[in-house]
Amino acid sequence: MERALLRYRNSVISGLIINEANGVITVKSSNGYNMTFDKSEVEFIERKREEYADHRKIEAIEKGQGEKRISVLATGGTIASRVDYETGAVSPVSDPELIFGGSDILTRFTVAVKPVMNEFSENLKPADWIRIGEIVARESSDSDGVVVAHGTDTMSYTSSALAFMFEAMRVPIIFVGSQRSSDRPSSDSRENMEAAINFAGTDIGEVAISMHGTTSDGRISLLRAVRSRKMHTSRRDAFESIGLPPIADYDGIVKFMGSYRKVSEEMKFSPKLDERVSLIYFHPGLNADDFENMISGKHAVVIMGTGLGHTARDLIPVIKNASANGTYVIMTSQCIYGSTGLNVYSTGRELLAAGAIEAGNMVPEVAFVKAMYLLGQYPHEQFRDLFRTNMRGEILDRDVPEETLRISR
Amino acid sequence: MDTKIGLEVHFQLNTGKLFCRCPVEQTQDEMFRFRRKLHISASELGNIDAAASYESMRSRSFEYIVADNSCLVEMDEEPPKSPNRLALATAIAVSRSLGCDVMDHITYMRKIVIDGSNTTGFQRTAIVGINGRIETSRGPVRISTVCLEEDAARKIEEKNNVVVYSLDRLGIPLIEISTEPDIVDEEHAVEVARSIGYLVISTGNARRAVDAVRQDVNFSMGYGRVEIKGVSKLAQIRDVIRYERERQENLRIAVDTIRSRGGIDRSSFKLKDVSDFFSNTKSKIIRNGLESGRIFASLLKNMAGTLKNGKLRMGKEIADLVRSYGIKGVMHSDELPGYGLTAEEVETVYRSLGKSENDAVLLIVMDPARVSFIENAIFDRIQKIMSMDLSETRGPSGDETVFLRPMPGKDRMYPETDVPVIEVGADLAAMASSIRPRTYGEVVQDLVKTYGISKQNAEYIASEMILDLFQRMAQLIDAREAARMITQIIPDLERKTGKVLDQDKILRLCQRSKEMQLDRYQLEKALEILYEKNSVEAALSDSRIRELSRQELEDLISDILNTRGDATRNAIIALIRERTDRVFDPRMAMECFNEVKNRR
Ligand SMILES: [Zn+2]
Repeated sequence: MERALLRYRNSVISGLIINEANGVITVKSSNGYNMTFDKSEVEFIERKREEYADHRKIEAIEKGQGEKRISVLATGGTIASRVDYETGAVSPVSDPELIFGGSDILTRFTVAVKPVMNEFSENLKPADWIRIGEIVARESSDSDGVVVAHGTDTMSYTSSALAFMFEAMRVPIIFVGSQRSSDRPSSDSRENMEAAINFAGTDIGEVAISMHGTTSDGRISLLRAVRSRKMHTSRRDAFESIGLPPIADYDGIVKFMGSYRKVSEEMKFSPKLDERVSLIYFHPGLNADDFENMISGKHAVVIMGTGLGHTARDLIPVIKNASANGTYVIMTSQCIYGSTGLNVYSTGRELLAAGAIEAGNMVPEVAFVKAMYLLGQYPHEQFRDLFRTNMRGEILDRDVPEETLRISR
Repeated sequence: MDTKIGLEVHFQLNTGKLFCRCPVEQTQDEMFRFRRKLHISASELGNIDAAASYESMRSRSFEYIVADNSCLVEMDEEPPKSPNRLALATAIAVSRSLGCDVMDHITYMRKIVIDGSNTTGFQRTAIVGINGRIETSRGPVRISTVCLEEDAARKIEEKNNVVVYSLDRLGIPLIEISTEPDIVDEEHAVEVARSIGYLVISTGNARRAVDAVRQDVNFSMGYGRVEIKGVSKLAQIRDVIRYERERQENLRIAVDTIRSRGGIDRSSFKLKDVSDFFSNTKSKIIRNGLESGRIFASLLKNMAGTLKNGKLRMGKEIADLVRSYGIKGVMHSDELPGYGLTAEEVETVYRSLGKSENDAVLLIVMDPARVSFIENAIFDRIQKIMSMDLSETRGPSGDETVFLRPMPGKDRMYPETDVPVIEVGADLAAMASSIRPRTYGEVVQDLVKTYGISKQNAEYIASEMILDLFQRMAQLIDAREAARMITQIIPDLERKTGKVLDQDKILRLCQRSKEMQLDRYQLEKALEILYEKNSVEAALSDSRIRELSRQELEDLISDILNTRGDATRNAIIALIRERTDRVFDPRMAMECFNEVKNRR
C-alpha cells in the first residue's frame, strides 16, 4: 500500500491510498475516515510505499479440549472476520479461538475448521454439491459431527442434495449461514455457528440447517433441509421449513421438538446426480416455443406452476410431447405453501393426461434436486414411483392446521 | 498553560431518516420488542480497559423497542437505502456556509459502537466538508470537519444486564460540526455554538425537539483532554466549562497538598471488611448495606482534608467512579462522623486501620465479590489524578460534570460497503445552493422586515433559535401576537410552572385558535390552561376561555361597586380578576366601568 500526502482545494490530507481507479482516488485519512476525490482535483505532495500484511487466505486449524470433535467446513463467505482498522480491510478468520473466544464451545468440543472452497453460493454447481458431499463423507469418518458453513442464497439446494446423497449417515450434517456478514458486531453468524456445533454434537441423522428462529438473538432453529426455503432476502430468520415446525431449537441447550431420524452405524453415500434437469417458473405469456427450447435435452423438468400446479393450455402439447419422449415433467406450485392438486380443474386433468407428475407438497427447489438425484442414482423406470415416495422427509403426509399462515403473522 | 476548548455540535435534521424512508417523528407507542447481543473480539477492542469492557459487553444484551417510525433498516434486518438527498444537500449547504472544502465524493464509514445504541454495532458517518472557519468576536475558530451521520437509538433504561433502547431516534440524520480547540473561554464557547446554530437552524431543515441539538465540549487546561458529552443547552456549555476549570484547579491544589505530605501509597490502600465494628450501629445506610453486602474500609494515606474540605473534593472523584460501577454507599473521613454513625464507631475503624492525622479513611458498602476489582479501580483513579492526568469522558449533571468512563481509544472505522460512494453532482450541488444558511444579523433583519416585529423581539427569537416555531406560529396567528407569546408569555409560563411544552402542542393550539376565531385574550388564557392541563382540547373546552360579554362585565362591575363604592378605574381590572377566572377584554371592561359609573 501507499501512504500519501495530498492537497485538495485548501486542505492537506494524509493517509493510506485504499483505491485508485476510474479517475477517483480513495484515501483512508489519519482521522479514520475514507475520503474519495476526483483525481484531477488533488495534487500529491508526497507518496511512499508501506508494507501491509495481507490476511486473505484462511487455513485449517483445530482447537479445543472437548471430547466431541466437530469438523467445520468453510465453503464460501466467512464464518468470522477480522477488521484491520488501519486499512479498513476485512479478512476472514478460521481460528476457532477467535471465533468462539468467550463462550464454552472450546471446552465442550474440539473444533476443526477447514477451508473447502471460497465461492459465493449462487456460483455453486451440482458438481460442487458432490465435492462438498465427498468431503463431508470423509470428515464424518473421524468426527462426531460435520458443520458446513455455506452462503444462504442456495443453502437449501446444497443441503437438500446432501440429504438425498446421504441415504444413511454416521454423524449429523448441519448447514449454517448468516444473513449479516461476520465483520459486523451484530452478525448472526456467531450464534448460528455456536448452535450448529451443538446440533452437530447430537444424534440427529439428518441434513439440517441452523439459522435464527426470530429477529431476536438467543433462539436458533434447526430446520430439515428437504423442507427448507429462504423466505426473506435479508432478515435473520429468513429460513423456514415449509409446513413443518423446526426439528429443534438451541437457546444455550439443544431442545428437540419433533421426531427425527437418528444417526446410523454405517454411512451410505451415493454421490451421483444427473445435471440434465431444469427448474422453470411458469408465467402468463410464457411462449410455447421458448418453453420447448428450455426443456429440450432435459431428462426432467420441474415447473413451478400457478395455483394448484397449472400452466397455460398452449404448453400442454409441449409437455405431452416431452413426456412421450422420456422427459419427466413435474408440476409444483409457485404458492410454496400447500399442495398441488391436478384433479380439481380441467387444466390439471389435461396436464396429468399429458404425463405430468405431481410434486404434491414438495418444495419446488427440493423437487428439482430430488429429480437430479433419482435420475443419477436409479433406473429411469423407477422414477415415477420413487418421486412420489417420501425418501428423506421431503413429503409431508399431512398439512398441519394453523390459524394463520406464517407470512401473514 | 492555556485553556483549549473545542466543540462538537450535533443537529438532528427533519428531512426523514438518513438510510431509510422512515419519518423522523414517531406517532404511536411501541409496536414490539426484540433482543440482540453484539460481538466483537477482544483483540479488536484495543483500549486501556479492554478486558473489563469486553467482559461486561459479552454478558450484556440489548432490548430494542420498535417504534412506528422504524423499519427493517433500523432493525438491522435490511441493508441501508441510499442516503436522504435533502439531508446531504443540507450538510453541503452548511459546510459551504462555514467556508469548508466540500468533498466531491461522500464516502460512508462504519464507526464501531458497542454500547448497543446502534443495532448494527456501528454508526454510519461520512465527511461532507473539511477545513472551514467561523468568524467570532474573539477571532476566527477553525472547523475541522462537517459530517453527516445517523443518530443512535434512544436509551430508555438499564436493568441488570439488559439495556433498553427505542428505535425512534435511530437513523435520524445528524449534522456533526467539529471545531479545532481554538475557543478561549466559556463565553466564547457559547458564542461559537450559537453562531453555528444559526447557520444550521436557519436552513429550516433542523429538527425541533428537546434533544435535537447536542453538544460535546472538549476542554483542556494542561492536565489532559476532558470530553464532556451531551450538553443540550447553550447556557449549560458555559456552566460545565466553568465547573470543569474550577474542578481541575482544585484538584491541582489537592494533589499538591497530598504530595507535600509524601504522596499516596498503594500498600496501605487495602479495602478491609470492617462490618463487625458496626453490628450495633444505628446508621441506616450501614444497616441497609449490611443486608445485601459488607462494609469495607481503607486508609487513604496523606489525603485528610482533600476529600471534602472547602473547594477540595477528591471524595467526589472517588464516589463518581464507584457509582459508575453501580455502587452508591461511599463515605469518607472528611464527612465523618455523619450518616448516623457515632464518633466511637468511626474512631474504632480509624484505630483499626492505623489512621494518623494526615490520613483519610474511605468506607464503602458493597458486594464482597467485587472488592479487589473496585480496590484496583479506585487506586488507579487516585494515581492518575495524582499524576495530574485528568483526561477522561465526562457528562453534564446540572451545572456540574461527572465521570462517565475513561477516554476511549481512537475511533475504529472501516468502509460501509452497503452504501456506494456518492458523487456530489450538479443536481445535489444545485439542491444545496437552494438552501441558504443565514447568520444571526441576517436572521434578525429578515424577521423585522417580514413580520413587522420589534428588533428586540427579533433578536430574542434569533438568539433562542426558535425561528422555525415563530414562523409557523406567524402563519396561524398575528405575527406580533406570536412574537409576544414567544418572547414573554411562554417564558413566563415556563418559569411559573417549571414545565416546557412540546412546540407541536403550542402550534396545534394556535391552529385550533385560528379555526375557532379566538381573540388574543382567549388564546393567552388557553395557553395558560394548556400548561396546567397538558391537553390542547382540554384547554379549549375549559370554561375559563369563554369570554365575558358586555352584559356580564357590566353586571360584575355593578356588583363590585355595590360592595366597594370607592373602586377606582385603575383598580377595576384587578378586582374583576379577583371575582372570575374567565377571560375578558380589558378595554371593554374599562368602557363598562365608565358606563356603570356614569349611570350611578
Ligand atoms: Zn426505517
